[in-house]
Amino acid sequence: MVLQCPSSLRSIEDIHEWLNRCAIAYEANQAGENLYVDLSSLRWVSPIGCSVLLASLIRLDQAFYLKTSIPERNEMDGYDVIGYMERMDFFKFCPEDVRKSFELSLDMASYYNRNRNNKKNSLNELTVSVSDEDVIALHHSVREIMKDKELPQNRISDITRIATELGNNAIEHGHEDQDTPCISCIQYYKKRNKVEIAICDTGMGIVHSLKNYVSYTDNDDIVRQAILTKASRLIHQERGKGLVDVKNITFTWSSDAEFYVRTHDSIYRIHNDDIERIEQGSYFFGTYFYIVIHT
Amino acid sequence: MFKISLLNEGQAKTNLIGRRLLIPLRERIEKEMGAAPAGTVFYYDMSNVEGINGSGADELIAKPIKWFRETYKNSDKYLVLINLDEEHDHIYNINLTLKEENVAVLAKQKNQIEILGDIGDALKEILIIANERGEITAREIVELLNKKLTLASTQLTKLFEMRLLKRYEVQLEEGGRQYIYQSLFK
Repeated sequence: MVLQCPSSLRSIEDIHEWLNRCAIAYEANQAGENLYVDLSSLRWVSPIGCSVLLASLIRLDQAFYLKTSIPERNEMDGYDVIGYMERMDFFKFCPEDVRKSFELSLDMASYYNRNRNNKKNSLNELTVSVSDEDVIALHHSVREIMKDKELPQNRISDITRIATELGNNAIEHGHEDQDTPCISCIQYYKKRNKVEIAICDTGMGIVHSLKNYVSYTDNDDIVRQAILTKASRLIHQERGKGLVDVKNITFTWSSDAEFYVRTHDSIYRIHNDDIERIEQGSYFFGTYFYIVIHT
Repeated sequence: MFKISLLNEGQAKTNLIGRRLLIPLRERIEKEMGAAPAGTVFYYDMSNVEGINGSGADELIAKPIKWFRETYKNSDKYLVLINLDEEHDHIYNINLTLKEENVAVLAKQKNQIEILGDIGDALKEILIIANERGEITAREIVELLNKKLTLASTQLTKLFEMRLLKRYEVQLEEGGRQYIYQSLFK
């Protein structure tokens, strides 16, 4: 079967739909076979969409040979989704098979050789962290970028704190016995007074990570405990505080922040004192955090 | 005061980010702290530290202080910070974590004392006075702040238990004994 990408990967609902399709394709195909990924309809991608697309393709590439149809380019669109993906450094980190599909179909050199805009006004690229040291580097690079964008210092600290707590979490807890890469993307839209943070991993998801270490009533309860309490598979080290810290920082900064997580088979909206399942779908690997803060 | 190095061998600077990297450091530090005599005031020189996040502040500051608070009757140890880095926003980051963990620590910043964590206005007022004077007694607090002696004693004892003031006992000329509470930086 063909894994068909929707036309939009912008909202949390879009990425949930994409991950549902990934789940179905993963189950329908045998490991080691070809998996046909059809991106031809893709027109619109946001930072969270780009992060999730990258994370999911990295995961699928571990099981299948990916045969990719690239997005169709339409001059009338006025929006070049491939150009956007390239500016985000998508092709720097995507599986080799995927990159080759683009390079065979298009003159990608013309994209690669473009001059990047002044950093101050440009998008911040995707970052892939594979170690604790990479997360430290992420802290410093985010700090520098946000200073250039003249965000107040305490707010920069809030962002780096969110990014590093979620980043360390992703690497350490994605799998029990191996580190999992973390894909992050942080944007500050000064004119729109908005910060968007996307942190994704390709691990087993919160439910599988915690279910053997907590008492629970259902999967939603496991996710609730992970976000709102100090529940952790490493409780003997007095841990489990990272996600609580992230939640507290988010809602202290902005009481109307939007905080979502897609993990296991569902998307949840996180509130200051509760979580709410928005939609249930199909299990796919990874935990995907998406935070929108109105500054 | 006894300096505890936050650096591993070969490091000129460090980042207190990520528990996995910091747990071995905290264990090494706790071993060093455990071996020191009772009454020791330890300090971290934060000029060696660049980034710090919630996990870092918890592992290296909140946890040792909680340990000192639990064992104060036997080991009577303290921790302070010096040379906090403004560029990396140390005060803000450490404050956030310590408030969450209900502990406090004193820091010295350009000859000013900073109280990190939330101790409430009443205790803060006394702590500031004690640090300005170097030493203070309950009777002096009564005179300065017009409090009842029992309340002043209770509040000073609380600051001692929180590891924010040292104390020693003296014999009074008129008979009896009293505690003198001392700044950690004295």
